[in-house]
Amino acid sequence: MKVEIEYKSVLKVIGWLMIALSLMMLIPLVVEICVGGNEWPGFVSAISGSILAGGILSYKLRFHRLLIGRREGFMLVNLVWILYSAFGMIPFMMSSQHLVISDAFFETMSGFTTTGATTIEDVESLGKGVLLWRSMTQWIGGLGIILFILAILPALNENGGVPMFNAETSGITHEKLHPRIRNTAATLWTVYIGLTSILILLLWAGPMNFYDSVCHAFTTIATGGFSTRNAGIEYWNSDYVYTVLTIFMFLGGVNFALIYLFCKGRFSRLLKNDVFTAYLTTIAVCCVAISLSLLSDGKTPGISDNLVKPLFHVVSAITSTGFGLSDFASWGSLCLLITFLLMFSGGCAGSTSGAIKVDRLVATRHNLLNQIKSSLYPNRVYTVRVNDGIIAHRGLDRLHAFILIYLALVIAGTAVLTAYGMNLVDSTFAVVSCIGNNGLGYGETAVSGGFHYLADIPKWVLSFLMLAGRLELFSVLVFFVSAFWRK
Amino acid sequence: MKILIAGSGDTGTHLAKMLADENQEVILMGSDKDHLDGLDSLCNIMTVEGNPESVDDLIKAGAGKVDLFVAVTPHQSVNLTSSLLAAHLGAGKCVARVESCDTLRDNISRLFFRNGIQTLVYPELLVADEILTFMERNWISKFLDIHPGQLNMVTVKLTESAPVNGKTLKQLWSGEHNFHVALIRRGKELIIPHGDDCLLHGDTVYFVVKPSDLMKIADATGKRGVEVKNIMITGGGKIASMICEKGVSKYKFTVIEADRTRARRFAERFPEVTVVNANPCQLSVLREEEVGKMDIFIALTDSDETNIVSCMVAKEAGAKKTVAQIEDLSYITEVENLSIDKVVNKKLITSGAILRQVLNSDIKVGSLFSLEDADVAEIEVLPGARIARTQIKNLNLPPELTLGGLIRQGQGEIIMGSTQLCQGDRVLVIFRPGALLKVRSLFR
Repeated sequence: MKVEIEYKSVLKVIGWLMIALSLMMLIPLVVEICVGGNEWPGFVSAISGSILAGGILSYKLRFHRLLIGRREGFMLVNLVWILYSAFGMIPFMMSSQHLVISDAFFETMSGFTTTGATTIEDVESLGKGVLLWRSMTQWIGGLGIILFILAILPALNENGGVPMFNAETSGITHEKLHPRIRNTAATLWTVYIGLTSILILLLWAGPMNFYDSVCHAFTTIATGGFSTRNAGIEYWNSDYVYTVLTIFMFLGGVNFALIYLFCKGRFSRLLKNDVFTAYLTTIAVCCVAISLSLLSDGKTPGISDNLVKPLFHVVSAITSTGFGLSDFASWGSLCLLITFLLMFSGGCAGSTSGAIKVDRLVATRHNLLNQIKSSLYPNRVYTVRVNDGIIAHRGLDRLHAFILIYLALVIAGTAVLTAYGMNLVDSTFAVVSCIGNNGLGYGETAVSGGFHYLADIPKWVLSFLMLAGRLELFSVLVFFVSAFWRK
Repeated sequence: MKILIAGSGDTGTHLAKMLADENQEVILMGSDKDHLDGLDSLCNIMTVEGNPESVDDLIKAGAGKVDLFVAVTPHQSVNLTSSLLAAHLGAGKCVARVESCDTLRDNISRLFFRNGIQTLVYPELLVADEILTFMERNWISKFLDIHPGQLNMVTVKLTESAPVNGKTLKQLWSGEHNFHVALIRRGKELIIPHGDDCLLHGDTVYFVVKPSDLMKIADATGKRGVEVKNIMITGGGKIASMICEKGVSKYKFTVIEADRTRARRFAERFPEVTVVNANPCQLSVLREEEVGKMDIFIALTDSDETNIVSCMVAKEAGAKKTVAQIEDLSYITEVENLSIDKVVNKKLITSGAILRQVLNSDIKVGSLFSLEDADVAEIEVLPGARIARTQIKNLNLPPELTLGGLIRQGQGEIIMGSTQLCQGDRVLVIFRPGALLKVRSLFR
């Protein structure tokens, strides 16, 4: 029997969200016009397209009562991310670079999912408006489009906000800071905006100009990794910039609820949080390992080369920011392996980072140890706890399923890329980078705009993986089981 | 005294019988008609079928006219509600059994006190405390802190090698008189000793002693405690949780619980505790968890038989000390002869609290503890009390009771024949069941 899906409710919300998108795109349009650029037609057509679609939908369905269940929630979240990318790509297609549709969609999806993999070789040739839009996509996608909308659209709180929130938010358990979903969303956005503002000021105080500071602040705190320069962060070649970005990428990888509690003075919560300590330890260990391997390779010792850059790289990899360093390719295979593993890990759940997340890895480590111990003492009862919370058996099953599906998708994606002639290491790296919303490149994809050289099919596959990774697999994969459509 | 007991379960029934033996007027309210009819025909009490939360039933049972209302149903909320109702209807005093530590918090218990509930009893907590005390001083099977820090009563079972074996009390007292022998239990017989009585191997001796002289008893009886680190508990109920909560920083616990959900809940609550989901009767399980290396083995399951057997198995395997929870009072004296070091019982703890309220009506009782075959109370000497008229040796005390020590101006002292009590002294009285009225008349 076919399941009745409330398409009208879905479309009604989509209508609102399209209007919201057009409002967001007004900002880069204004900037573009103010600086006297000539790439404004792209924005004008995108805005008129989205406002038209949004307007018609919300006008036609203005009397329809919203009914959003679990299925509608999943459908909405997926549609929103896809439609935002579809409309958001128009400025790129109509820019001076004239991206083709597969490139433009990849670029926008990479933006909204905060991946940061790019198909544009010469970003500096783009206008200020388009570049700002490119950074903004990451900033909006960082905490999640739905979360953004939940904070500003009271109507969504009435009905169905919760299924949408659950479908988008990352992590094993979804922490609510306040009983009302809107207040939770607003609190998270306050923290987010606060951090972004501080970062803008700090970067501006350094060698960056205001425009670059804003763009980089957007992409750093969202752990996205788009840059406004062809050479990326290396353009400034400043330890100050590296250090500031390292700190804020790190913060972007921490659970925002934790940062909020920290700001409210509950410092002890931070150190008692095993996920946070595991995150911190992983970064420290990996940084030391890379530093040592660099020293043993006979590189000249120096704070910048042996501490600042490795730390920047490690944090950039684990938080799934993916600001690249050109030195990285020459750091040797140990460093490559560490980067690989960090890309699988990702930051803490509830942050802006992608990939599997430290929470899941901590829980899995506990569970694996417990399984080994229970071979010795079959009668003993073992529990898996993360941050004092117990993960019940169902949660563990889901967690293991998540990791297995994640690996399966990596393998499938790699298969597609190798089929199109890419070598195994480079293609695995690209797939892990995209599904983890990381954006680092290696080998063929290491150069600026490296993803441009892929064939069309791999680009679409990687775009899909970015979305699947960002929405934490289940929210996307539900559409591929018949139970979603049929009872 | 007229007493209404709500709840005819194990504890309620025990209390009713005990209070009837103390010549009190007891009305027992319960829901199980057959059980009540059986009691009605056996004991000198009145039974009423009814719901303690129903105002009509309470009035019918006479709750407004009783001197003491006792609520011991299995549910805390029923106990609290019915006590509040009874107090409102006019019951003299109310005692309610509770099931959580938070109810006992000062500001909360004051709320109930203001509304007429004099005493809240949480037997599980008291049992847990008793076991925790035993972990500290495990050569003493029962340790009572009568007037905290001033006077202790301790129970020790004499082993074959005890230096005091074969000595009369007179011989013991020939040197310093540091402790007083208040009671001796020999087999099933309870002796209130005199100077010529002898201490023998196998006796359970009740000493009254000042805390500073506690170790002298250890010397006299040749008992030594063991250093405690590893503890195994069977049964993961409330008592086990409270023991683990208080002791987890100091000891290493292994808890065996047969019920899967309860075991998991226990493990979730105490990450440091090793929780085993298995039947504690299975010897193989106990061996697997190395019961022989345990310093203390504590059996707290709901089944007395399982507790007794598992304690014996644990001792056999090499556990140094064993503690068993035994709810059937008739078992307790039997178990004394087995190799179980300590027995705990929830009912006795509840009856202590009730007896205190019964006595407290016209004399002043500080603390009261019920032991399996005697009660120990700290009673203040009021002006004109019969007991203060002459020296102890001339008092002609009834044979059912004895005096162990006194607290004079906050200082603990051992009682001797020549002691003359005076007003304001707090006297430690040990009396057998049924002697309540005699105790009362002595102190009035």
